[in-house]
Amino acid sequence: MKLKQQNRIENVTSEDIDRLLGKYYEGLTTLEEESLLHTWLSQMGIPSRFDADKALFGYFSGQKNTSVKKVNIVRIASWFSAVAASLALLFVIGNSFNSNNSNYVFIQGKKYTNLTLAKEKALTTLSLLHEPQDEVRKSTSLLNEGDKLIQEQLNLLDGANL
Amino acid sequence: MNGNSINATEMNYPSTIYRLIIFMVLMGSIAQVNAQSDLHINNVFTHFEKNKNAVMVSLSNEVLDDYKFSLFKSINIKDDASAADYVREQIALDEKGAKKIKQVISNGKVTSIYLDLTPKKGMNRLILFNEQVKPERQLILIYIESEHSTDDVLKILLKKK
Repeated sequence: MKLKQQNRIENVTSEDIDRLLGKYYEGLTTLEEESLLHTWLSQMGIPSRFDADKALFGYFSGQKNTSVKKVNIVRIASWFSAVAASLALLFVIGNSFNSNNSNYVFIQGKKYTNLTLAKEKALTTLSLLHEPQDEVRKSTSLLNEGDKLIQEQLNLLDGANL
Repeated sequence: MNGNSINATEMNYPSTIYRLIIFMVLMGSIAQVNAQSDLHINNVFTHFEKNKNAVMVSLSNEVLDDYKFSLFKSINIKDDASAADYVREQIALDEKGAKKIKQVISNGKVTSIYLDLTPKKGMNRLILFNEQVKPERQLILIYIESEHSTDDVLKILLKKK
């Protein structure tokens, strides 16, 4: 394709370019013709009378590149802002989820978010925890009760012998 | 000129879709962070929290600053023998790999157990269960996550009683 265009450019005369430029300024050129003009004008060593046209085409080309760069910067910036906004939103959601949705108490099937009430109920539940020492004390007291029973039975036996 | 504007519009759709996908992925990951751990005792909290005989408490983070806990969950269920059996079953499933701090067995049933679970995400995890029949039948189940060692957590709890 490029080679084809190169061959075409080699066959193009300055008069052809004049004619194409005329068409271009009237807005009648096709995309192929504009491409041909652009390629021809970007060549080295073309007559100086085409300098103005060359500058015009060069200007448009430069403007096109700048706009592409601008679009890229805008796209990158919008990506960053989207990610930053998402993170900020998630942080807020996460925090509110943690502080509000995780602090509650259910009493007889009804949900309360009153922190004082929740803490009070938590402390009530904690007060029901048995310390390990309590269990040992209980078992020991049971042993003592067993000893008492044995003593009572021995006393009964002694009474019977008498 | 028209061609350019069509391209710009076409570019906006995938860009919006990508942003939505990123947002949803991030939402998913945050939700996962906040999701309850994979412990079976969570079934007890979710199953009985709305029970008429139950009091279920959930507290987290700054609310627990005095205790240095990151999560505290407790449930107290009264007059429900089947609930106690269910709790015992769930605890037995979570017991694997955990260190038993205390266990009381009465009539062949675990009536009290303190479990030190393997830490997860840098948090020490503790399960406390106690069932009493007299003067009234009731059980308590407590789950705690803390940066403190379980020994320190128990000391704090028993001191606060």
